[in-house]
Amino acid sequence: MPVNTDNRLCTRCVLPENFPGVKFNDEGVCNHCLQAPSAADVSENVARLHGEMVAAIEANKGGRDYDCIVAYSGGKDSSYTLKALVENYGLKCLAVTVDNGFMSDQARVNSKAVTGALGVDYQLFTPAWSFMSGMYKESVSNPELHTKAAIKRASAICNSCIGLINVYMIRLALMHGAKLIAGGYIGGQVPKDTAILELNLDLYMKTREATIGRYETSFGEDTRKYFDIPEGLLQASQMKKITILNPMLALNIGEEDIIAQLAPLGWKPTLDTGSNSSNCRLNDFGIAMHYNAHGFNPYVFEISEQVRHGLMTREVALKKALSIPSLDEVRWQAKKLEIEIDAVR
Amino acid sequence: MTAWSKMRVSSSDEGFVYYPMSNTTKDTSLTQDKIKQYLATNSLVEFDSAVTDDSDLFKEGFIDSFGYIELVKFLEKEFQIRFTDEELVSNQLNTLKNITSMVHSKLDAG
Repeated sequence: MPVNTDNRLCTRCVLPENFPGVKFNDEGVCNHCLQAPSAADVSENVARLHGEMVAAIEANKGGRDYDCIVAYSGGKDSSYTLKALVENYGLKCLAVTVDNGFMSDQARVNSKAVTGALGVDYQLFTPAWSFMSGMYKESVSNPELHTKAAIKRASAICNSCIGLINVYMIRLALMHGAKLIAGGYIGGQVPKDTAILELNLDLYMKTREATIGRYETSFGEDTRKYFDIPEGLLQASQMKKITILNPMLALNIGEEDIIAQLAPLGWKPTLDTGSNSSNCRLNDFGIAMHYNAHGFNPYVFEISEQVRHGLMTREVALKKALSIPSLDEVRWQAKKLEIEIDAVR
Repeated sequence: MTAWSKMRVSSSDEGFVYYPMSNTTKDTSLTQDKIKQYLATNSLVEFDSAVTDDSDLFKEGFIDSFGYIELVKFLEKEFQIRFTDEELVSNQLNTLKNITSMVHSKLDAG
């Protein structure tokens, strides 16, 4: 449902004035747009990232059953990522979906169709509902759960889910000896210049403790099963690092082109996942809760980034950014999670 | 004349920030300001009486594992330095004061 907002929006992208760190000039243009690189610089940067990504792929492929574990939601971005990794770079991929209990039926069909068409092994992991529902409930009610900056990129429930998925992908990479992990993150969802991230595993383990401690306090005794890497697994793998790829940052392709390229693989848009997701039926609930708590759409930064990169028109962006589900529209998700939504109001 | 260079482009969410090239990297306050700006923009750290230069940014909930990797990437690119694995797994990059001090020792050594 489109909302009327009292907050001033950037006249070039759609960032609202209440987004953390945003400042406007006299013409109503935000600091992100004013400091954005030119189209030529964007192209140059994307080309550089692409070159670096290809080098990282070449350095880490071969010799194992899987070169790359792909965090695959069945949505359009991760489907395109998987397609590119297999068809353009010849990677042997294991596509892995984590079913959070709200996966769209069409996304299931799409996952099977795309992995089938690409000839890719596919794994579906469904964590216990008792844990997932508790995790989501805590995510909505505990504002101290994630880092403070996390509100800029995703809703609290998405941040929890992404955290769980990331850890599961690392576990699988260690189990299979895969040196690469890839996801379908697009500009604005992850910081610029993170098309390739080298994950030093010792460092990762050491810096995890504060986060896991917070999660454990909130999510309970099974937390480490889903958010920790067993020391024995790390030692048995004999791996010191994993390279994380966010190929979409090095490809710079718009939504319409993605959908057109996925159609021959049998991928079809979902109709039950709201305007900002193509796989998850809980996403709208996360948006509604985030808007209720912070006053802006958790997708607004990535939407604005797409506008700045010329991958989305401002008109489309405006529609997406102001499309906030009402609390009544997400009542069914709240009921499934046993959250008293009227208390949230 | 001050030279401005794209080599000094920040990877922060604020977009591209240009800094003067000459005699800047070893200026203590400017180095700290750049790190502070990065932390304010990317990690929403507001340094005040509650969050000081000595506050542990992990324990205070400003940085997690991936945030740390991004911070290191920023520092290495911004100041054209490289951290060793031993330095990264030590607790030397957990506060603004420690981060600034570590960057300076690298710049001085380089």
